[in-house]
Amino acid sequence: MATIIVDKIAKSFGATQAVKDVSFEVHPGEIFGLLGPNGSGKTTSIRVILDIYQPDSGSVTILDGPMTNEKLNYIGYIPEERGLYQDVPLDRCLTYLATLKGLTEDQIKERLPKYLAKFDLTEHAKKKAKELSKGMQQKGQLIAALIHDPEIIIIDEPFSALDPINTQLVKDLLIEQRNAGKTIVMCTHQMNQVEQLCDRLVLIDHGQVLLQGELSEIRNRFSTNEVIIDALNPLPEKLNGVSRIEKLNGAYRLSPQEGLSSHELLNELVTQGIKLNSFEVAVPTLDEIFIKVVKESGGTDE
Amino acid sequence: MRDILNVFKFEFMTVLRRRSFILGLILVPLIPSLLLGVLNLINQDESQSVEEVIIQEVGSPLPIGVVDQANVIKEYPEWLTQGRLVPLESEADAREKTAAGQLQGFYVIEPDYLETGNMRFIKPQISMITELLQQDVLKDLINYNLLGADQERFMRFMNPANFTFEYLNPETADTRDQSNAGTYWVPYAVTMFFYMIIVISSGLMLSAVTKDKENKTIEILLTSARPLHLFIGKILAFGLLSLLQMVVWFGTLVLLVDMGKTSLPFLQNISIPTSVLWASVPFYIAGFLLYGSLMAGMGAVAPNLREGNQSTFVLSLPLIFTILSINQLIETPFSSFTTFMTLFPFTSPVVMLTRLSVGPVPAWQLIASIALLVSTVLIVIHGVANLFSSQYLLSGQKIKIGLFLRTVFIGHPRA
Repeated sequence: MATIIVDKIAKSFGATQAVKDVSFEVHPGEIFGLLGPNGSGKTTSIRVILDIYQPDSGSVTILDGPMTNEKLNYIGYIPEERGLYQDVPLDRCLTYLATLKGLTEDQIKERLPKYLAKFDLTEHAKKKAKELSKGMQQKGQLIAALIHDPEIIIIDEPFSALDPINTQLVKDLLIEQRNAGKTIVMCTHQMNQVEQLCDRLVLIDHGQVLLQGELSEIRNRFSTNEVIIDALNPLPEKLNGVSRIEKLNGAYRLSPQEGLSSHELLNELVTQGIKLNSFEVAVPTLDEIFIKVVKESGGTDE
Repeated sequence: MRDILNVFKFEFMTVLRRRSFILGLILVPLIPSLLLGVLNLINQDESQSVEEVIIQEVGSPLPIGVVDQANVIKEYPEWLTQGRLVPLESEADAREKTAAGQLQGFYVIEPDYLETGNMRFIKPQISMITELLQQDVLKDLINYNLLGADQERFMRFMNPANFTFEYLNPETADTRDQSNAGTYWVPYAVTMFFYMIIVISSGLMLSAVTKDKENKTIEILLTSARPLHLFIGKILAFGLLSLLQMVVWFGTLVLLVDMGKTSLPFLQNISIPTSVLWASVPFYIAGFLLYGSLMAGMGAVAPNLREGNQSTFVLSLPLIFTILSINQLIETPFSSFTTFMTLFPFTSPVVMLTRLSVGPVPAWQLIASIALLVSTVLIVIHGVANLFSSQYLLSGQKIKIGLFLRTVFIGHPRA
């Protein structure tokens, strides 16, 4: 049963249609990527999910029903434009945000030190946010989103302002939460992170869904059957079974003739005496798929 | 309800822990208290006036000589000069006595004084305070002598008229005791005090709301609490804080006026009516809720504090108008204009206290004023609640005053 069901939501601001007929589902125990160029409608979609905005049409089902005040406490959210109270000590700020999520003072006293230690912030707990680095503030916001142990985590650009060590920390954390059965929606432009973390994704642009499904299935869908080989000797200009040869940096991209599978192409190359160091099926990267789909849909303003 | 309490607690404690708030709360009443304490110390000897003490403490006890070359001074009455001025025959004699340390210095009234008013003051060193005081005595002495050394005529000259007033139109009657300056200055001070404290405390609401936007915490807050709960929690917290501030500051003012009567003679005729004391709390609370809500609404639609501040001028216009009309309010407490200002909800939180510090206010005006004020507060809070919607709170657009006022007072569909 899906934790979040977004069903044909639409939202306009004056004459601007921010989101139209967007539908997707997110299940427990998965990391779901919500992708799209800037201004594509991602943030509006999230705000509709969170009941910050009322949709003009369509509906959102959260944990088997419409959003309620009670259900807000089951959600941990880190928006794209995030911040902490700059003039308030970190521990007091996190305590306040935790109380708004329904935690009692005893629960906060028990959990906050653990999270501060986990994110290496214990010695900075009494500092005001303005005295912390951007990365530390980012970690503080992660604590605010997680301290109440939410069922659903919605996080916009989770890796911005983080160094490689903290990026790994957050990745591990997201995987840990997924393995614990939590539902995670992640918005990011960093496609390599999506490829590493997301189980399924939806790509939206101009407020409309362009693409959605499982990551592997999407890749297969955009696969061209091309192969990339690293040959010991230079290739001749023409090869049997190959319709196009493209020279890459130290390798070749080969397009097989129509009807020829990659296995059959490998046989052809061996038969023709081509000595190979490596042979791999050219699976399109998510970056390539993203650019291709967005361009085909009419491009982006960026 | 729990969210309102959490917001209230956080906002209240955050401001209460702020150094600037604590300093303001303590220093504002502390400084005049210390000044009064110093004056009390100076004035421990009750037989001496402050003026006398100043002369004794900072000036020289020596008299000042007067060489009257114009021959205008016939008499040096003791009741007027109190030995501070002594006549001298010649300038040479005066110089000799000054050099010998028997005089502070001396005045020379030039022979053409009656035509020109010229005189000289010859002195060995500067002593500003005593000079000013002695000059006043010399002027009085000259006036006395120019008036024929007639004490009765001189006293009339010093206080030429004791007016009593009769008004053809009782509505514009000034019923104050006009021989008592306190009947003007007490209402003036009360008006200024409540004007300032309402403006300052309601301004805190503006910054409290824009702070959430500038710190970019607003979106997280909106996924934790309903906008209306955020608004209610904030206004309760800042309402209590500003009430605390008002009680401490106003209470200190009342105490200082009472305690200062022994050391500052001008305070002896001044008293703050008890009706002002009891009315100050409900009218201040209602005034804060009215202007605090409007400022919070402005904060909700303003993209940042700077733009919010620029737009608050329009909202503060009724209070500014009150200050501009302060003389009329004090001098004609029963005029139609003052009655209107007493009943008009956007001026009544200040004007009612002005009126009560001038004299009694008819009961119907008190009841009507508070009823209108409370009704308006409820309407404004309801209207401002419309502005506490996600669409406005998350918007970075410029403020449109027309839209703001329409939404608050007429209503607007929620986002």
